[in-house]
Amino acid sequence: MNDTELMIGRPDDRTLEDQLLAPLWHGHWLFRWPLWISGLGAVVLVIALTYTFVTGIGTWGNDIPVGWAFAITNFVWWIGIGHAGTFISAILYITQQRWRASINRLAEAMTLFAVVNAGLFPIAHMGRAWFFYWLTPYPATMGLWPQFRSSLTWDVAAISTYGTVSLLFWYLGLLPDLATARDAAPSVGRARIYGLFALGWRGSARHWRHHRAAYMVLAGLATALVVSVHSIVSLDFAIAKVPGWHSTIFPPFFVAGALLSGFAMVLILVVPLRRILRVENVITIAHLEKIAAIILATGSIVGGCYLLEWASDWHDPDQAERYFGLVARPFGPLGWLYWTIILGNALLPQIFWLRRARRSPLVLMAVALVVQCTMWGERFMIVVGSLQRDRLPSGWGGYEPTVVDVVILAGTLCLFVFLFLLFLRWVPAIPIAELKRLRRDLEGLDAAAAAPLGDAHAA
Amino acid sequence: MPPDDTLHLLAEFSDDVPLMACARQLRQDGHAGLELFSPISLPGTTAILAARRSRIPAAMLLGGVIAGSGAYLLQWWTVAIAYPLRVAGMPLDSAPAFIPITFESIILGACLTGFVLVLVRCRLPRLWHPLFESEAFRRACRDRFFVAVSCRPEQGDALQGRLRDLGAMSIETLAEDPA
Repeated sequence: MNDTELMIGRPDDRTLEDQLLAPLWHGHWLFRWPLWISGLGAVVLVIALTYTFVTGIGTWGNDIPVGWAFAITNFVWWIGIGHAGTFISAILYITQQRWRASINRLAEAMTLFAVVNAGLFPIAHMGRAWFFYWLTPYPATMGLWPQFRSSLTWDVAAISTYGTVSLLFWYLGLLPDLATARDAAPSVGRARIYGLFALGWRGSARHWRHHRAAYMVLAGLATALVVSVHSIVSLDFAIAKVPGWHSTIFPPFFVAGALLSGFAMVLILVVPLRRILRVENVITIAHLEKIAAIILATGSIVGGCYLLEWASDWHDPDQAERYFGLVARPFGPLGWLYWTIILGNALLPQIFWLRRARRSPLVLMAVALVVQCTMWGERFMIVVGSLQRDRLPSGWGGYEPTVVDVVILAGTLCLFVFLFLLFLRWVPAIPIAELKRLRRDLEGLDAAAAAPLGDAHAA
Repeated sequence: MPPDDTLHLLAEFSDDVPLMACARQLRQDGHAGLELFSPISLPGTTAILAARRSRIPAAMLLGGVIAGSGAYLLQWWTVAIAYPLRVAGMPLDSAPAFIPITFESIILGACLTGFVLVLVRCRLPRLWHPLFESEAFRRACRDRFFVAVSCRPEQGDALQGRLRDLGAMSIETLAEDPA
């Protein structure tokens, strides 16, 4: 893998700009029926949520003993998907990986919309969603405060911080490109709208100096979020005494799974979009190959965690934990799901040891879709599997989702697609300024590669 | 702003290499108060312009520390003082349970500080700017590179000649200091 493959051809500034701004000015069939259908799905989501709010969460399949089910599964899954965006924009930025440049904004937008979806579920799960502000510390007349020793209040802080920081980071990176859109706009009306959002960016050395300095520190802080947000989510489970949840391996296990499902989602978005939007020259096979390598790495970490769970359950002094880990999880009512998950999350990504698989869009897309489903299945197994087989056999039970459960899950997928299409329609989805920079850096690499070794040393 | 008799010139360049070379030469000629405009970030401008490094990162650290301490104190005060509630015999001042929210608040405080300070230090938002009246400058965020330099009116011709020698494609006079 060579960084010079990250852009096919070396388009000049104006060509690059015209290509990347094309969806903003000229539209695309993507913004016709796909937008309407996903929008319709989002409306169905609103209806299903309204029905739930009005009736109560009895519309869901949750019951005793399985009090947490689809909603928490969806929440954990969606939040995890967001993590790949933050990983690309933050960790790959501070480690100066050139391949992040063309996909970081797509991935950050994916993060934002995934967090929007994730945030819906804890609020809906409260039943009386209009009291959600009770979770924030405000001076109530009754002198009541949130219980900060509960992991649920930690979640509120983690998710709201994650959403806010992702939005600021995304918008800060977007400023120069909004200014480009302002100056390139074909009509005064559009120039005004983009001008409003560009805030008057002029690209002066002063602007860039402060922008780059803050962006770098924001990237460092977002790096801390990549590893902390899903760790805190995992504490919702890990600090409870339920068998299968009460485990110190949960924070890293959840973060690795989050990155696995997140990068699978990046592939699901990028593999078709690079063809549909004709941006194969800037989102190349080399990019896909790097993403595949990360899926291989995180899939293997997740697989390692599955093995470690067996080992720690084997040695657990708690009989209920031993029973759950060694009998109920692999051979209980969700046993079939457990083995499917191992196949999808840990074994299937091993295909990416093969270079041909890493470079085949078809294989990438197929693996990403399977991994995405099995990652949802894993979250479901963790949430429901454990609650079905708690400590007392007399309290064991089953779980079945209702139609409303399924509609809400499908609705969030539609809302995600809808928001993502609106983003592609109105926002420069591939960073223009960063690719202009990248083109110059790659030309430097080309020159270094073309020069004889002696010259390169002299330079 | 009182009208000054300083001449402000805006010179246009085709790419970043001639722009940087020109800026370096102008600095050697003794011109202070240069400003560059470019569609991409240019590493090394801070040294050429002898500008001070951005102090936003330091301010972000401060913002994070303040937000984090505030969050810790709030949790401690509400849980241990204002509304003490024993849970499972654990101590009221249960510091480990306060770590997650303190950590998140540090990050949130630092990020908000950074974002606001970028706007303040860049003097944004500013929807209209004298530079936007320049036709040539409409390519400053697209594919042209500019340097703004000031001099006394009598030196104007010499400076224009110098800019052309350094590769300027066009030069125009601005009504006020663009910085």
